[in-house]
Amino acid sequence: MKKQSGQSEEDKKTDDTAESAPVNRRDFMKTACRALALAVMAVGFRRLVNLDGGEMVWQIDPKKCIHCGRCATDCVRDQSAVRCVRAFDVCGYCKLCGGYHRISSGRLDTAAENQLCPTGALVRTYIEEPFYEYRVIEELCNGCGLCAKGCTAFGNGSLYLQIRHHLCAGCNECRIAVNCPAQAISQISSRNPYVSPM
Amino acid sequence: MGAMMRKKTITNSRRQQIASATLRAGKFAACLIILLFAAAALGSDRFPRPEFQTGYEIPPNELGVARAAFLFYIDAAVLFAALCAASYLVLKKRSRKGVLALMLFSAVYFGFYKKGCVCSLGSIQNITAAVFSNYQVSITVFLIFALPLVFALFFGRVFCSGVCPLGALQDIAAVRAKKVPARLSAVLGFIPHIYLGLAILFAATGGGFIICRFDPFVGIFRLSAPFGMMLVSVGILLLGIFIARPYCRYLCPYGVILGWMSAFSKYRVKICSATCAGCRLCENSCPADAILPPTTDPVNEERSRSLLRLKTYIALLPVWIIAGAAAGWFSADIVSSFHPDVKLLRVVELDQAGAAGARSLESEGLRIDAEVITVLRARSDAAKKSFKLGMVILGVYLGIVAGARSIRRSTFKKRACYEADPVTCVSCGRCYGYCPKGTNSAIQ
Repeated sequence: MKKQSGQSEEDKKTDDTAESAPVNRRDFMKTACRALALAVMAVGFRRLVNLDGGEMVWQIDPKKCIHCGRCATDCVRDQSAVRCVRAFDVCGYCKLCGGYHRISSGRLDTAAENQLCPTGALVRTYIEEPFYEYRVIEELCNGCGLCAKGCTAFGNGSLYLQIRHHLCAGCNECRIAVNCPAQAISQISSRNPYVSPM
Repeated sequence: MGAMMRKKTITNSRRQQIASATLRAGKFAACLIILLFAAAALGSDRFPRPEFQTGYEIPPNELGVARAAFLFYIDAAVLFAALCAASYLVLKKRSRKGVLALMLFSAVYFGFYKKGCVCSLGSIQNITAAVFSNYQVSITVFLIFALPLVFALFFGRVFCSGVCPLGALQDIAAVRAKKVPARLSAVLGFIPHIYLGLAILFAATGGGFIICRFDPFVGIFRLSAPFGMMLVSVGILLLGIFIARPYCRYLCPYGVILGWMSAFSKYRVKICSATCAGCRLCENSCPADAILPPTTDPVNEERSRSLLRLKTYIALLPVWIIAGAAAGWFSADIVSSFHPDVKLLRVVELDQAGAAGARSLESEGLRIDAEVITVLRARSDAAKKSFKLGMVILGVYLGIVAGARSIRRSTFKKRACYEADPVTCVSCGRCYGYCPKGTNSAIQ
């Protein structure tokens, strides 16, 4: 770096000889180094920046997710920015829902002891025999993924985990991504910020 | 006549029956085909989508959008405006109060509103990752990295004073700043260089962003942090009451790069005027110990002795470099054991050796088999290899820094008056108010 600036200094030395004193020489060195640093940054801008890519946001790939439950505990927010979301067009509207009922539950009703969700965030409403609609109350969901695990194991996989961007702090390094055992979290373009499970 | 009529109707009804039967069969076949296709398309559709009789309509899947792109551009614009304001307040207006107000704004905007991310300190790693891999850097992240450096090239470290939210917190905390002994300060001053080198090494090898992971103040900006992290951040702030800006001076890796840029800065913090009384008040007020006193006498030492010392230090430079390289070589294995690929291989190998029941989540998540382990081992070995090279380069760099420091200390540079060292001065503006001669107007 210094060598180059030294060379360019000698090239232009003739211009500065009219003004005497070593201070000038030092100033010229500094100017040359400044120019070099700016040039390096300009080259870096051209080489590194993807102008079409948009901003990058963190997201879970539902195909890789194993619903380990670390999303609920490892997010930097007090209540994780990861929440369960619904793909209604994939749902089978089952009466026996692997994401809603505990395996041990004797009766397929809405009693608390039969529900899988630890926070009561999954709500079931009767539509017609034998179909039930399931909705997630996002404020209650803690992103533990129990329902998503049940639905993927037994049902269509219409319940799945996503990082909700209005809740995400947008950390430069996502702590859940670091700790994710399936390496399912990566940065994607903010133009298409959600990943479908299908 | 009647019989014929009856016969006709019978044949008619039979025809209808046959027609409806074929239609039904066709419908059924069509349904079956559609179902088959649907099942193939959806993959795991174990339960078909029901056909509702009650007029229930399937709700849309609404997930909303991400943070709008223009908000990111506003962030970059605010950064630019804040840097302009800091340059004006520090160099032209020379107002400590103005800098303090800007600091508070930056702490609120870049800290509490933006939750500290993405900050210029962390952006070093984004840029490094982009240089060494196909990591994507957006235009705003690049600006967050480059704008403070460009300003440092012209106006010194104005980013540190008015814009950096981490600096703002520490500057506000530094109410009883004491001098740090010069030798201790010189030793501690090596840490940022090591930290910068390690951060670049980890980011370049895909080993994560350690500056972000060990950022002590981000928990304060998020208003929530694990207990240990909060303890460290409060501890550093408490320490910062007596030792001003401890993170900036003895840890901050971005400060190293800002220092390089600032060494060539065009405009600098000026302290002295012709009316200087030499009262040392400005020197004492500096929280970063960056104000160098004027050299009063020519050197007392004999010329031959100084020359010998200088020669010795220059001769020692290769020794420093070799020592650094050796230290890098021998510490590479320890450092690389923190790389995620190396760590993962260790976990997986433990799983393979142990009982089948005691498998870790990592083994389960990655569906570990022999092929995966081969890939993982190759990646782990590649990481170890890059760390060997990287740590040797870092060692050489540290050797050069150490050697250059000792050489610089034994060269004489005449100063007629108090001067701010552009590399270490964080342009906080504390010294401006201390001058009894009121040089603020005289300098301009």
